[in-house]
Amino acid sequence: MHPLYFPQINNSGEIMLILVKYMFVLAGFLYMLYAVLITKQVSIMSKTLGTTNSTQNKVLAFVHLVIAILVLIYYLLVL
Amino acid sequence: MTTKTAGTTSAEKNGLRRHVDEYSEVMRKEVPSEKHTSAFLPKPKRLTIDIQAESEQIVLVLRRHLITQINSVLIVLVMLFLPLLFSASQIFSFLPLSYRFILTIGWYLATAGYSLECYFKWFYRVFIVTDERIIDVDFISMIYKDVSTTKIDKIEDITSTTIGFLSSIFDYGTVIIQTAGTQQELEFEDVPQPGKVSALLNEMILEEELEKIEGRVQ
Repeated sequence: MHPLYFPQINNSGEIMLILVKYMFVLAGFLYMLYAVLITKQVSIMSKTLGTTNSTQNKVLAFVHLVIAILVLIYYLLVL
Repeated sequence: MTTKTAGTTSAEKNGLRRHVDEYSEVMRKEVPSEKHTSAFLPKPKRLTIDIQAESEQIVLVLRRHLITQINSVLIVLVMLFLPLLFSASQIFSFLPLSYRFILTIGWYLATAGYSLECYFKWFYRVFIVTDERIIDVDFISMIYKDVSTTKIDKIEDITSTTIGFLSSIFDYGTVIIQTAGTQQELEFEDVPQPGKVSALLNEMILEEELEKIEGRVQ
């Protein structure tokens, strides 16, 4: 059996899981900031270049942001 | 916002500026584009730029040829199938099931984010030719945007190059524009039909000179 198999976790295993948990939450938070950046930049670029796809692009970026926020909330609740 | 492309403007009505179809053999054959998701948009309708002057017409909008995005498409495909590989190889088997599920969700979200970034970078990185100037909108990353312009009468030399197997097959290449301004060079990289773009720019330079001779300069 793998030495790090979950049922056999000892103190160091638990510490590692806590670390992994914080890493997930931190990654989720950073990803949410990245999604905010995309949304903001798409909004700026839509002003620079106005096309028939501007609304579609903004919606796409916004939906991505909403999903990123939901995933972060899920990480906080489940982990 | 008003549409200033391929239509009759007040300046044209006054006889100051001719419509692009009147002097360009290249543009006369082109049908105005309605959809804005193409890499070659001649006389685009309902497309505006924030630095556009009232009487300025957008003649051509260029993006990188779609085939140049093949690398990004391949990366996304690999990213999509990577969790299956990890699942089969049991690399993350030491993690509890809930953690593995969360890792998979995060991975697919990152894949979606990368795809979006690639699409937006392709979509907003444009080369615009108006009847007055050339605009290069660089959207290199999500935090870097650069807009450079040069007037048509500042153009000194135009070179179009098509290098490589794919470029020849799909007819795309780079158009290099030497200018007399402080910015010495503008590059339209990997744009479709570089020969046509070069021919259009030459026609526009001639028209600009004709405008000066005939006193139609605003």
